[in-house]
Amino acid sequence: VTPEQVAMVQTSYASLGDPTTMAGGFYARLFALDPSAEELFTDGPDVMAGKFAAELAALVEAISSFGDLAARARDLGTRHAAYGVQTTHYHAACEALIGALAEHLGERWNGDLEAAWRRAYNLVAELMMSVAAPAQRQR
Amino acid sequence: MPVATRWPLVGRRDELDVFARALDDARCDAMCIYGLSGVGKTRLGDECLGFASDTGRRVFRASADGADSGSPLSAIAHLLPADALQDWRAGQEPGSVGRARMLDAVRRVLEPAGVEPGRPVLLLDDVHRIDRSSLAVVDHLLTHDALFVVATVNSDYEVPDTVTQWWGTDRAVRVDLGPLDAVGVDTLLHVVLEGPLDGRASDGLWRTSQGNLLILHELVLGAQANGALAERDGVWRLDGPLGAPARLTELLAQRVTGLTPDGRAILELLALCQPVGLGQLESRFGLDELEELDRAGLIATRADGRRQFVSLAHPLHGEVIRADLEAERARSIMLDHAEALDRLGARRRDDPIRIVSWRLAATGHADPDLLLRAAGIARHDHDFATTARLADASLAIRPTPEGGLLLGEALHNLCSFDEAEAVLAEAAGRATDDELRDRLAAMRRRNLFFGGAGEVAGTASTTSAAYELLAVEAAILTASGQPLEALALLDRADIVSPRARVVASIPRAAALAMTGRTGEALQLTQQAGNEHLELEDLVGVPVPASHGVNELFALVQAGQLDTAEERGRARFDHARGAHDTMSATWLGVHLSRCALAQGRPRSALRWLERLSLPIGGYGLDGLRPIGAAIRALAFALLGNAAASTAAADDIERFGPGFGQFATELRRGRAWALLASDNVEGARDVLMAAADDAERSGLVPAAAWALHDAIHAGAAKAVAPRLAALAEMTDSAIVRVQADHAAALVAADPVELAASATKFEALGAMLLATEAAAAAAAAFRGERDEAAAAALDERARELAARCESARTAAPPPEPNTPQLSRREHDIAALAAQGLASRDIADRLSISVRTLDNHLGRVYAKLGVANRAELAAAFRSQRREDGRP
Repeated sequence: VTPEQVAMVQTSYASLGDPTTMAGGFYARLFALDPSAEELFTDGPDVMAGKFAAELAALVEAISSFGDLAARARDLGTRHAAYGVQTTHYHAACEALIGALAEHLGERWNGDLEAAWRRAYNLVAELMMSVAAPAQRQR
Repeated sequence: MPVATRWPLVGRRDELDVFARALDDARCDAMCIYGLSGVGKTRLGDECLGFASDTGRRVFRASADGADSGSPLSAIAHLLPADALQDWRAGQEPGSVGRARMLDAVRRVLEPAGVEPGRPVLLLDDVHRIDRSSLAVVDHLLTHDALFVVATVNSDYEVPDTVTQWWGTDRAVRVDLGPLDAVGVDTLLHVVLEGPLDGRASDGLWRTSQGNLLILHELVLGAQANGALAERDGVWRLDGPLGAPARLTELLAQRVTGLTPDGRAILELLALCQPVGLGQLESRFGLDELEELDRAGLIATRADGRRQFVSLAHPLHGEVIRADLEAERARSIMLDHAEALDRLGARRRDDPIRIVSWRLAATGHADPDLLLRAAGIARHDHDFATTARLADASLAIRPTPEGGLLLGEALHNLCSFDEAEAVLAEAAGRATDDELRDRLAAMRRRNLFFGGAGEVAGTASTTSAAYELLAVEAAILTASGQPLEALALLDRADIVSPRARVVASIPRAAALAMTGRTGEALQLTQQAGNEHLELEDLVGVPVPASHGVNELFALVQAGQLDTAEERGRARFDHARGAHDTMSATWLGVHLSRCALAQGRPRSALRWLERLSLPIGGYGLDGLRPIGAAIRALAFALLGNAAASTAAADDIERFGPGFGQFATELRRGRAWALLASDNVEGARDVLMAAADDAERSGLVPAAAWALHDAIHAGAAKAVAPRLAALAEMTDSAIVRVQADHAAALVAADPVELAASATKFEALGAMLLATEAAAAAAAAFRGERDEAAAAALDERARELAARCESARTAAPPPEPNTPQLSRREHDIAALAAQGLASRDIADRLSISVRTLDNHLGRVYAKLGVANRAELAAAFRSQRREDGRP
């Protein structure tokens, strides 16, 4: 993720206004893409959206410092592994996030911005998955 | 400067999941990672091992290191327990290590100890470089569910057949590893360099490497070393060109050229002789130098038991370095290292073989005793090509009769019969020991007979190897079509040792099958096959695949054709994979015969093509006449009289060949005559063939000839003879052939239909077709039209499975339901496109009546509208032969 892309991710996230609504849209898309993801959550939708928005904000901020980002992502990855999150969920979550952001940013969304977010997501996801054992059984 | 010799795994989580699931799946026992050089196959394989190890399984690694990867068992020798190879190292005679004992030893090492969650995992790195003996051992363990294998396969090289077979089954999963995409490269570099890259650096490295991890690794390390890639203000920037995309090897060569002389010496040593003990390298070159190479990502250290071994980080490094080495320097490096290892005392279990191989590679010669022992190991794995190479090298230094036997046998099994004879004759002149002389004589006689060059006089023997000569005599009698004499000879022999039992079982099983005692033959074959695996001393014993040839032959003789085909195919593939040309050729001939018996002439011809038998492939000239006979038969069944006759002429031209096929040669001629409508001639040939076969005790062969004669109008004459033959054999198909002939003579439709069912159950589809067609005709004779129509239908179904073979033409398709005259006229007009009103007017009937008629026409023809009616009507006219 180039410094320019980091800036684009951070600026666009700040401009979302209401990240919780975007987070709600993210879950709706995620569960549509991969219904098995729904079983992983026990919280109600509002709580989920709140937690997601807070975590995403922290990651977006940390991305300009690799040490901070790596520590946070690996910690998050360990917890996700414990929840039973699998590789396929990471793939679905990427598409869900890109879709939700595109919807919320409307006309401000463009190809460069999408490329920046995809790279940022991939970096975080690889760091998170690096601490998890591979999935042994298909859900 | 964050230089990583081992980069994190990025973008490969899906593949890792595939591994984890496969490992967990009891039905799966291998994963093949397939991809080009440098995409990270080994990295992924190592990660799989790491995961398996985390779950509590034991993990092992096998790779072919160094310049000489061919020496037997070199890839897995380090996994063997100390006692497994000590016999040959202790200097016993060649080939004395029991394969069974060695496999047992490997299994002991791998056997899960109670607490383990599952099978141990073995990584076979770069399978195309791994020696055949090692692959054979792994293959054996796989079939016993003793381990899970991860194999990395370089798509640039030909894959060993053994491995192709693994992923040809559903017991293996295959992962195709491609290069990383731009996002993956960016993520990887961000993690490796622990910070962001600017756009120029990220794009440049992606474009230049095209996602190939090895190239990327080299580019990054190279650019860091020359300062083009540097960190400023927390961002990795590329100042200066990365250069045009270089070929991988050029890139590697550049990195290797910048080394110190010692660094280069270490790499050269590894390129030729790796893996090398860390301690040994450290004492010679110092730790600093090794650490420098390690930091540069050029070498890797791996633990093997309690010791550390150093290898090159990537096999391509080895290729680059070896390509640059002068031959003289390479020789001196290998010799020095061989000497050093010898002085230290061979530590790794495969060190003695490696020392021999280096000396051989360096000088063209090595200690002849060691070479002979290495050849003996290869012989144990039936790796005759390696056996021949090592034994030949040993003999060139010091000719011995033992070495001659080993080399002669290997050459025989490689179908180099003339060379084998030269070597064996020379060794026989040298032998002073009576037993060895007998063994050489037996091998020589076998080679001369089956190689087709002629005969040598048999010699009487009184040594403990006497049964070997006897077994060869029996094999020759059997192959000459004299099974009764062979059995009598074997019965006289005093056979006590397991080796003698195995050796004698091969001609005995073939002879039993030939006389029609198929049950005994199958039982003996299985028993001998098992006992064969336990044998210690294999030199001079035909390959285990010989039992497979006998099994296939016995199954065909018994008429269990579908079973024969299934098992025969598997054995054929296996023999091909093991480069066992001789067994593959015999198996192929029997498979071709089997296909004919099944009524599949095209398959029979295809088998012959695969064997190159028409042109006398592999020098097994004794099989050429049977090849021609099969062609004569197959073409006759396909209705091609000219080709059948030409093939029959070939039978004469090729001479008698192995006498065991004499009856079939005459059947081939007879079928060529039948194809040319010379029925009388065919009958004479077939009856004479049956007489001779019966006299020689070839019961199933005689039955086939007699049954063929039914097509020459001899049903009445053959029926009682077939009934008598059926009493002399347990062959199921001879029994059905007898019943079929009797039912034909009696024109008994029920018995004929029963014969069709029994032929079908055995897989003899053409005979089943004939029986069903005859049953239909017999029913029709009894005016049972419904039963006749049903049998016609059956005959058509059966005929459809006979690859256009035709002896008794299947009945024509049933006619479309008959239309009445009026219906026909109406249909004809409607098919021409006339409107209902016009048709009604023309026929002077009401439209309502017309519609009633048309309704019936539609129902009878199974059509729904005028267009379909027109089409159906046209096709019916064609069939009826009307314009």
